[in-house]
Amino acid sequence: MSPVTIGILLFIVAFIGVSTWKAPRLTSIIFWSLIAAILFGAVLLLTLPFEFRPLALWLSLAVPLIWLSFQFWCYWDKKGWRVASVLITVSIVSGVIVALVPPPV
Amino acid sequence: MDRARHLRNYDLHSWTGITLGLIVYIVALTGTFALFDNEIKTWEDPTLRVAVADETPPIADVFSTWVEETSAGGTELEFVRLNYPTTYTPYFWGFIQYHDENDEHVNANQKWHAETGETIAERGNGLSYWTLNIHRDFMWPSFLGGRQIGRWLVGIVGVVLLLAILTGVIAHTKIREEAYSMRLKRSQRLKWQDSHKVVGLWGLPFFSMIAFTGAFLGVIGLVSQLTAAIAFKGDLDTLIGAVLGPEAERTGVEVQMLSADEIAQMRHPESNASPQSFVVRNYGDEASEIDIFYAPDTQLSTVEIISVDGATGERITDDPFKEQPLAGHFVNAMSPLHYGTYGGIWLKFLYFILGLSLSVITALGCMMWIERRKHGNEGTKSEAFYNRLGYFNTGVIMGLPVAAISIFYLDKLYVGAESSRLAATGSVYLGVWVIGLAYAFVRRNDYSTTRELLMLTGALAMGIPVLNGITTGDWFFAHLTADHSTAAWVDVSMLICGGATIVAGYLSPAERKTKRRAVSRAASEPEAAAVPAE
Repeated sequence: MSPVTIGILLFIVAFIGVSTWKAPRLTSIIFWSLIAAILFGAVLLLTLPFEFRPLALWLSLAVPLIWLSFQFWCYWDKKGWRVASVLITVSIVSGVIVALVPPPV
Repeated sequence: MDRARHLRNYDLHSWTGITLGLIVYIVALTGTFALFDNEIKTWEDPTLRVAVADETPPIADVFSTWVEETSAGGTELEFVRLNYPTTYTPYFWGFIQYHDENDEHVNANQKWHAETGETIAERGNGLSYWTLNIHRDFMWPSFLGGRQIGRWLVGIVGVVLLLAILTGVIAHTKIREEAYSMRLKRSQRLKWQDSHKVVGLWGLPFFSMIAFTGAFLGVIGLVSQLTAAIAFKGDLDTLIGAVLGPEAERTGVEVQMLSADEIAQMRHPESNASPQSFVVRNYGDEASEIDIFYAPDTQLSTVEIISVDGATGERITDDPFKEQPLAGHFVNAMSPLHYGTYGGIWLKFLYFILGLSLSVITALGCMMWIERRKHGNEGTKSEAFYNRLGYFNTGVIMGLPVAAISIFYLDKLYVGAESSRLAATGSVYLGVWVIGLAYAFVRRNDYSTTRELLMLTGALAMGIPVLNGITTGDWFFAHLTADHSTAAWVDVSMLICGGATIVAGYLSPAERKTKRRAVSRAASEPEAAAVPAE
């Protein structure tokens, strides 16, 4: 990875970090809700004990709704920091599960 | 619900509307035109105004010769497709995709006359193509990432609309009363507010459905595939194999394929429907497979597919979606549900009215947001700022229908090369829209701008039958009972819609009755104090 790419990535990470700190609800509804929905959807695809093809079809319908639910919750919860921390935690935990669980064959 | 939560929810609804409301409006209004893509296609091209015979003439020799000649010199023929003549596309239409000698993907297509089998000269994409695709992907330019990016953005608009609907419903604490509250003799703002709530509440099931199916069709390519790709750690080949099943590999043994005429005779075993089209994989090889597409027997379905062996015609599998009855049926129903293709032309008219009402309530939402800040006590910026915001809002909203109608004129008056027709269509569309926007800034009166551009839209729409009659000689009154009367009915619809738009413009106020700002809300709008916020 070139230094320029690393610089851009570091800038993006710093930007998201500062945004989350300064405006947790806004950053969560724009960014963290999408990341959490995608990673959580991937975890459901890997872990739910159903036949893969119908599960994939159902999840293709469900993931946009999961994303919508996360977005809605961003302004529903009383605490802005709780919204951000829960969505970040969901993203991290989901990422770890995705990394550990082998894909279905 | 506590007050702080109510306010947060209301703010989310309000800001979702003002930041993305205009984009939702654009998607909704362009969607009402996109519903009639097939009908507009027939209006656009006079050579399509023919009835299709029940039995299709032989095409096999012409088609196979074209496939072989076109792909000669290529390294691999990826797929071959033929569409049989239908009401809206009354010609044979062949497609192939192959790798050339440099291993680049090459796409080619050709049309043949439905009765004679003669080659049809290519007419460039224009009116109908633009009308459909500006709704589907904003015709997103390639230098900004291409059409797929536009499709994702439209899908995200669907999610935003769902969010606006959800927060809007929660914001209404007195839904039952508000569903019947229409105070037409009060202030302009209250009329907008009541219309926004009443139409929004009564149309709720339709708006939710159209937002969800739109979101699904748009973001399915982004969110769901990304989800699956992450689950498979980026191994897309394994992912595709897991979802669609393994694909047969070429064996290198050549076989005689079923001909296009033989496939045309392979009726659906249950519905007895004739094939609409077919796709061949591994063309000419022992491992060739043909997917035959039929009109669905249950209309709430995009298509039904039967796969057969390319050489013997022996059935391999049913429609892969049917193997998961419920999930497959849901997914397969998304497109017909969104475009209203499952219930005939009257259902499309119902969709048209509901789609138009969605664009109207979105526009009203934006107008109310500005009005409250300009003339109420919610504004924190200068009056000049809200004036400019109002001009921009009105120009975008009212310029769009003028632009959508103006390309009908371009289509009939265009004299350039067919290959440039789409570029000319886009230029006129965007150019007229920008002129509408500029007009709003020059006119400096949102009410007059709305009124005048509405009447202009109506007048242009009413001129479309005349334009069609003069340029093609097909006057609508002579074709209403003909075998193929679609174009004539497009003319009639334009006359009716144009007349209704002129009346709506005529009845609209030319200016705001009172101009007050920065006084107490209750004093400036006594009615506003009597109703709950949003």
